[in-house]
Amino acid sequence: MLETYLFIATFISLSFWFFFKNEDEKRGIAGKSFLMTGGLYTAVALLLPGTSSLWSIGVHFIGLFVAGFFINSFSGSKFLFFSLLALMTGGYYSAQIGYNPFSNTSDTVKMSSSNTLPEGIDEDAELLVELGNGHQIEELDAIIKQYDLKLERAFAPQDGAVTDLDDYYTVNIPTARTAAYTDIVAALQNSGLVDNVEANEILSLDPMETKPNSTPPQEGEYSVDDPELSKVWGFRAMEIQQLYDYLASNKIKPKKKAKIAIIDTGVDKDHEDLKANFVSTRAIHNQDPQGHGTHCAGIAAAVSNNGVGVASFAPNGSYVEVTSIKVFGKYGSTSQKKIIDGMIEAADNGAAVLSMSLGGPSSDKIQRAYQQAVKYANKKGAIVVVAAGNENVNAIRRAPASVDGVITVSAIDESIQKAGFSNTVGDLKMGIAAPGAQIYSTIPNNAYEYFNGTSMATPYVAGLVGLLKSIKPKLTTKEVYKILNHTGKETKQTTKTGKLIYPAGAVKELLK
Amino acid sequence: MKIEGKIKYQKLSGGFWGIIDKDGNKWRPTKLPKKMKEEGLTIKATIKEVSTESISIFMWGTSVEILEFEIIG
Repeated sequence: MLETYLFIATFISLSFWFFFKNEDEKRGIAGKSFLMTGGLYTAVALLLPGTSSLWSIGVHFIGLFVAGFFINSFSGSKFLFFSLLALMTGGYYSAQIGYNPFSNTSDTVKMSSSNTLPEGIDEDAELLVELGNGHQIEELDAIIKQYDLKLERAFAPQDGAVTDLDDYYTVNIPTARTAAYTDIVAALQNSGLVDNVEANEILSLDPMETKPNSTPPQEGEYSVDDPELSKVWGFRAMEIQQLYDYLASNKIKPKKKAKIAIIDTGVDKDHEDLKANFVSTRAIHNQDPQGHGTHCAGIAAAVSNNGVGVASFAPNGSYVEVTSIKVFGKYGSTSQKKIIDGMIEAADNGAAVLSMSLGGPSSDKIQRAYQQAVKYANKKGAIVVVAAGNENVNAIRRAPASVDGVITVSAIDESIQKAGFSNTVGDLKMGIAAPGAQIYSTIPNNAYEYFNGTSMATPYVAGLVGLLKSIKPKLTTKEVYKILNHTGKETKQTTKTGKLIYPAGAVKELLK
Repeated sequence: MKIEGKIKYQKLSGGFWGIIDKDGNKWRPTKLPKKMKEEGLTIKATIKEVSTESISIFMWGTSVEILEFEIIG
């Protein structure tokens, strides 16, 4: 804004220089003022990072002189001259701050004026900075002091030796300095001390929407006694009874119960079909006002053979347990930092599988932090399973779907075709498919509903990975994916969806 | 940016309101005014991309803020 004020002062000085053309003393003062404010404007615009380019300054000065000569033609009338001066300076100022007093017409609704901060960033930690190798945070002191910034270490992995996540810092910009957001980003980027500066993003959710399933119930299909399992078409498509039969007939026992972390909106820990399998990481994660996380938890690890609701791949409670890492708030928004915090917390608390039904566009900046978090989770022994996305595009353009080291899940519908909305995973290193259309599972308050999305396909794969890890705990992501891909079944568009997981085949292959 | 398109409820990942414009581009308003929450409405809107909210659980469309709108049908 300093740049704007100085430009206005320069224009006013020039205007007065024209106005006092017959009064030498006053004209001299106006001339000196013009030179001083014009010089200051040029210096500020050129020297402060994130302001104007040389070209922009040139255009401003051309405009300044054109406006000056224009207003000079009205210098014969004080009223006209000062009215025009007020209108021109006011108009320029309004344009700079983005205010448009004429846009709110009777049938057009104006929603908001522009903001100095980008929309949707965490107001307590607006930026995420990755410190360059070999640099110390103290080296940023000059910038920190200049803008009154507060820097805090962004992530706190228990094992800093296996990750660069401890190089990340959040930057809190005081409210009084938010107008300098662009300058601060530029100053940090140009310091030579940081590898990356990015906005600390807020992610958002909307209310859940449900749709009834058209598949008629079929009784007596399964050896488990969960009454609503007949509504789960995916179990037939993946031939889950074969899995139950194989586990039972071969007396396959888990070596270690595998923990599946649902990184989502929270989980209703008291749900009748989850609580026996649920373990708490922290109490704060165990409520789900939104419903999405509880739905995913039921797909991955609903209690099987308990006489209520649905079931999961594990036929009894000895194979897997499920925990919640709540990264979305009551109003459905969170930051990328909180998601990565959630991944770290899950890995540090012994999760064998991270189930992440979220994503967005991909870029180097967006991916960088995800990649570090995935590497950290992998080194702690966890496998990361993520959703492909719901735009019917190539998931290679999405993150974390395309991040190295994750298994990415597309969605198929009941006809074993790619669900119309599902992104494709054929160009990814580790793409796989699971049911994701009209999926019946748990929602809070002992209820059950149908949802759609690659969000729903993802916990199916997470549940299978958990089962495999319970039998062979040291399995790596690559080993698991090799099994899933080798034993998976063709879909009607395998090149786009990857193979449909076949849990019985995967367990057989694991035990070969 | 100005667009003209139709309001469509997307039954994905919990459900949300989207706009599909004349060229088939998908836009996901971060906050949709109540007056616009009606399936099939044709609207004109001035929008601004919100790149910082583009990562979401919905994984659909470009995240935008509605600056102005007009219901035309």
